[in-house]
Amino acid sequence: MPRSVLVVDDAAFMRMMIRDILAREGYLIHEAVNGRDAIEKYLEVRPDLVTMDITMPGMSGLEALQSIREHDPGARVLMVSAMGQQKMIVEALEYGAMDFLVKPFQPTKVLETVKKCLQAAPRG
Amino acid sequence: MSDDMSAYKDVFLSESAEYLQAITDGLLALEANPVDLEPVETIFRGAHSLKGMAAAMGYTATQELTHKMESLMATVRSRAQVADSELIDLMLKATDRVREVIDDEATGTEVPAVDDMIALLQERTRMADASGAARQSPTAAMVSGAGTTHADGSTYRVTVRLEEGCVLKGVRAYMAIKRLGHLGTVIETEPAAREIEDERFDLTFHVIVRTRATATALRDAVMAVTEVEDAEVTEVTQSVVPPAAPETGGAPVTAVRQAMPKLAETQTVRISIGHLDTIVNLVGELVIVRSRLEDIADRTGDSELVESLGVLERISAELQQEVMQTRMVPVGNIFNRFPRMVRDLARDLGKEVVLEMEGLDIELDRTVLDEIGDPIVHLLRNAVDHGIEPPEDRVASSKPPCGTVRLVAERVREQVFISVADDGRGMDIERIWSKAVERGIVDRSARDSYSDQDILMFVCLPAFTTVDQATRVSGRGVGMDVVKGKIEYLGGSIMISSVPGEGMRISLQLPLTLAIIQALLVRSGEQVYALPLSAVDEVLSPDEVTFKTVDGAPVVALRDGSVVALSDLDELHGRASAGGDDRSKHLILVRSGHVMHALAVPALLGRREVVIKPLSPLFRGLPGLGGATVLGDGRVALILDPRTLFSREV
Repeated sequence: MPRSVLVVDDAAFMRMMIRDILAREGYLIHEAVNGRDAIEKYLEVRPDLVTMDITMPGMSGLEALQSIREHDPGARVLMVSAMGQQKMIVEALEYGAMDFLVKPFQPTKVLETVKKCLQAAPRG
Repeated sequence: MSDDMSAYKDVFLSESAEYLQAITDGLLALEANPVDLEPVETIFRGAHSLKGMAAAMGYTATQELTHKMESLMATVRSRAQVADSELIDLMLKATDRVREVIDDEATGTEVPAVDDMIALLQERTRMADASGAARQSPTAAMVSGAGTTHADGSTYRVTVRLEEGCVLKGVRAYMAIKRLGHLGTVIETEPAAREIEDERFDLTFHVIVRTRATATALRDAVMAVTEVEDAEVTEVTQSVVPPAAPETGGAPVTAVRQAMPKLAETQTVRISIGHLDTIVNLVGELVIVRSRLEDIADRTGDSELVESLGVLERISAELQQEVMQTRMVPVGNIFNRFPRMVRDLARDLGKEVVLEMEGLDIELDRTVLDEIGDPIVHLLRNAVDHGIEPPEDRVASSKPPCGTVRLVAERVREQVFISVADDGRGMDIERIWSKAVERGIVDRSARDSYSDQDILMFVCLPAFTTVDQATRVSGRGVGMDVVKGKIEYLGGSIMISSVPGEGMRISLQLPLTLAIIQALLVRSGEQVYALPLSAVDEVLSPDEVTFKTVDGAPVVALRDGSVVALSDLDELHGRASAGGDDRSKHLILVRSGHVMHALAVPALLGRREVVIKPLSPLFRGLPGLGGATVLGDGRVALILDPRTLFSREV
């Protein structure tokens, strides 16, 4: 059964990029366009992994991360950030995010990180 | 445990106190809002960190207790059970026990068995297991596997190399250190945490970790981090913690640092209070020498000396200000224990009370802060015990069943105000009055000459109490008279206001610092006195006032028509008036509490900054004197205490 990934980003371009990289490798992709949407979709599809953009209008990626992990302490979340968001990444890791990707990214790096996240034990 | 661990003890003790406080705060927050998971995290992490620290120190009883606390909180975190008030109570009691046990273990005293508390914690943890919903967090499970039975383990040096072109190296390093932290206790990083956080390292950093996990497990944990190129693990013997590897270019390792880089933390250093006190004293001496030099310059009129002194004055003033600043501590440091106290007290008394606190970041000199803890405790106890009514009484008088006590700190120029206000029953002025009459403090017929404010202040008289039977809470021999005495000793004052049925407020006015004050120097005979400038309202010449006598007591009438009592400094100090009547003297208007006095002094010597030195025990408690100081010419000046200077009845 293919592993499912929920791609959360307010920019359609970024969602498309990640989707293309992952879909080619056989991952099943779901998408959410903001934090609130991410929580709803997460509860609906229970993906194996979430890639979460940090900066989004309305509910930020950090808040969505917290909320998802409150609903499911075993949730695997991979943060996606721009350069210069060091503090927020650390905060996200404190809240239980598994890893992070920094934009712009290489497809190989995305695949490698996603694979690593799915192999590791879920974080509680 | 080897000897060099003892070097970590101070850090351990101060940090563990902080964690215990965080746990207590978290528990109280959780009690207020049981569905809020944030405090659960705080408590969980606090217990977890304590456990790791205790393991590193070899404090097995502390380690055991905190481990069980952590396990219990894990069940709350995974929502396998709800933090009801019994659970909170149990956790608070466990926190108390940990505090005691740490004391014992740190001092090397025999530790009383903790089995009872451990059994209670386990029992409560099992309540979640029983429901079948328990899902202990992998973190907790992993870490508890790392060191519950025995504190021993090995110390490893883990050398981590990141991939070329790795972005946000600091965060990657953080992830690796954090993972190692899950397996054991991170003792040291090289370069230091802060350097790593600022990415001041090339691609390689080192972590010293103490753990029972194997070297392979450590390596696997680090290698699992993305963008880690390689990790090398070597065992080090306990006594050798190698200094920073020069090739990393990091700062030399000087002392144990926090185990994890905390990216948002401000850079601080812990300094022993003793050092600070010494520095303050030395600066004080410097101020004295400076004024001695100023005296010489005044005499000789040497312009070079005067010029250099100007510079010296500026520098020493800045130095002094900086040093005083290092002694400033936020009131939050002592306030943070009050929520727990108020909660316990309210429970004991069957009352519902919320404590609201404001101005926690207001800073006070630590000598002042150390002294006001007990008085505030007393005021809070009074508010909960005597002020706030039982819930049913409150409802009967259409108040919400839950009472509110507000503790507020505010800074107004060079003073800090701390007030305790409650929305309880307030004080009954007529009841206080009749009590005062009964006790023979005042004469019944004199009622009209006392304002409500005056009457409220009666409660600060020794042994005055309106509660007929002392309750368990207030019957501890500390009364309002002690509070007032302490506050006045600190150079502060106390104000009470009350609205019957609506509550009362006690406000403490405190100086920011005690060590150095601005003073007006005056002379009586050969003796020089220093009068704190904060108490001086105005200096008048005799022709600006009218001298009168009221009821046989001397007074002066001021230009604005007000009349104030007149005292003569010569007479106050048992000296016959040194010739010349009041009309030839200077008049200083001195504020004592909210009362104004006129003090006649033969000579004014000007304004000086003086360093307060305590009086020798022989003179201590002498009314009117607050200390002594050494002047520039080596003479000793007595510091007048305006609060007791005029109260002849004392």
